[in-house]
Amino acid sequence: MIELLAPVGRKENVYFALHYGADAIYLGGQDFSLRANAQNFSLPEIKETVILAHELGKKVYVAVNIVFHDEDFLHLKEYLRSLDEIGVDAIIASDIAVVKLAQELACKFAVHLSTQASTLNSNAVKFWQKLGVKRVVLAREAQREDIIAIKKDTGIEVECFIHGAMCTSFSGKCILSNYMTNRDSNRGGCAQICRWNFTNPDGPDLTITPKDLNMVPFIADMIDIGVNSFKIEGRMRSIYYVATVILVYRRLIDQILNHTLTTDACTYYLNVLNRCANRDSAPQFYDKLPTEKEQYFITREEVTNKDFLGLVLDYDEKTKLVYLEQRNYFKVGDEVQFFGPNTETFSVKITEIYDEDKNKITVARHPQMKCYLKLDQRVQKYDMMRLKIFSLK
Amino acid sequence: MEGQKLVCITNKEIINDLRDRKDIIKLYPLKSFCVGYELEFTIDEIDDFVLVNRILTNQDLKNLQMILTRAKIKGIVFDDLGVLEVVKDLKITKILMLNHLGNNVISLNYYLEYVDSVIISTDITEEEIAYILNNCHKKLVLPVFTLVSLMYSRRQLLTNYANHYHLAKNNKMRVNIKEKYFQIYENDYGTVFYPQKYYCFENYQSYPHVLYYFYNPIFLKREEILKVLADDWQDLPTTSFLLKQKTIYKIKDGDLND
Repeated sequence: MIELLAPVGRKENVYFALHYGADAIYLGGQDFSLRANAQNFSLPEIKETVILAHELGKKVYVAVNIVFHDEDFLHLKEYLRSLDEIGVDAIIASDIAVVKLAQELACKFAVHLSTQASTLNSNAVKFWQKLGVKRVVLAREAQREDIIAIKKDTGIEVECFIHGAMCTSFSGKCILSNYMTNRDSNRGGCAQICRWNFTNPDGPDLTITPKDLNMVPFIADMIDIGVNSFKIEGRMRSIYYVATVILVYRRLIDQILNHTLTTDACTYYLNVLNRCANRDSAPQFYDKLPTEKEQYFITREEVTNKDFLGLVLDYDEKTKLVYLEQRNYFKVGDEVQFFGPNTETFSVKITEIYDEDKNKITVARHPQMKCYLKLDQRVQKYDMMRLKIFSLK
Repeated sequence: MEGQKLVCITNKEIINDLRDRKDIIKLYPLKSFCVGYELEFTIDEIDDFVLVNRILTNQDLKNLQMILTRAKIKGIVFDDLGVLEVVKDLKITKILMLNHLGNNVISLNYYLEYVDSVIISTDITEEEIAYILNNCHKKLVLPVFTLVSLMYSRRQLLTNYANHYHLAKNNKMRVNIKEKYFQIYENDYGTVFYPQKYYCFENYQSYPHVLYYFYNPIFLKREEILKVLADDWQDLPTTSFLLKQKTIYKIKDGDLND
């Protein structure tokens, strides 16, 4: 089993994660999840999501991965029962109390051990296996030989993060946020202190922010050594980010499995991923210990790029007009790219734009305005249009 | 003996002072298996309890197993659950130090099925500690005086900093964000961030069901450690940390800019 696992922090992202190529998605409910400040999902919304995913033959995992204080257990039993009735495929837990409770309730869903447990060895995996855990999300610090040893010794399903933001600390071992802001990092309130500047009275400011994780160069090797699930980080991310990243990894994995992946394609995918996140990225721990090259040393001016230009709402084969919702400013003459789950990425120059009343205009400047573009190539609903920055040779 | 002080040996000069003290158990950070300690000991130097406070790989566990075959230790304090299998047949006291992950009675009671005791979290309030002590199936280890590990990283953050700015490498650094101060220590394994002030549970004697009282006087001098062990910490920077202040995690809209 090779699974591409996508984050969804809000309802809007579900469609894009599933249709752009994820085999499974993970999300948080409105309680007990480590992204307490994402929109998250009510139980009816989880149910709706599970139905949609199962219709597509895909899976839904629900994060129940806070570190519980005694006051947090109220309603946990009912919540797990509800998730079981809804038919979620797994929960992601780090607290032994949740793992044992799921076992005691004889829930049908699987239990996956969260990366919060920072698991790096076979003995620890076996400990959790005895408690019914079916899959372990390894610590992001796991190296190639650790993964091989764990697979060999335990046979457990292994899930590894392959893309997205990194904690500086081992997951679950950090309370910088608690100390600085009283916000509890292990209950979903992380204030990301590791992305702040620390003043050093004797030298330049200390920054400890890692570059993002990006495993493009090692996906084939990870498949070879038996990693089962390839996880993308980012439950707080936009539909554009989710769609772009998932589609890149979907194509990458498929091309690896079909033996059609080229070096040029790899380079192109890396460029697209880095541009999409506005951050540099690196493989981090897999093949070596990260050095200064895998970190940032200044406060990054995170200027959001305006690459995401529009969301396709419809396409008329007869008139060759694509009906779009604008997401960022574009104009006649811009070089753009369309991409989608069933649309091979292609580049085109915008020649004609029309407003909703089919009046010719030259720019689409209003956020979320609807408009038409002349486009000879067929596109599909929920394909996306972005600024052309890179192209595949 | 219950009610003893479990004291991490963070300064070599203190060993002689503690040699004949029946009220004290000495906890030695084990060389190559710890993070955040300036002073570490080989297994041959350890005659009391041993500390293994970091996450371990399969290779680390193999190495640990080999080292422990010649050990003359009386107990072990460890963070990684993988150690359980390594020490299961050893007739020593086994104490789990969960490093932020054991904040409730239910979880602690499950873990207590595998070990003799658990060190209570420093992330919880005094009320929560009282509830835990009263409801756990075994007696627990209560932190009294310690520098709390705010985070630890597998990265060598100070080495990376020195390399990037072409500075001489230093294993220790003091930094701050506004009025919050940090002490950072890096060893070959990784980097730990500590606060400037020592977590101090002044009220510790009010609570029953304690197996040991935990003291972790990182970076202190001999004289300071001796005073701390006599509960005299007035001259040191201390804090009640989260003992009197609950953390929050659902942020109201207005709080998001902090």
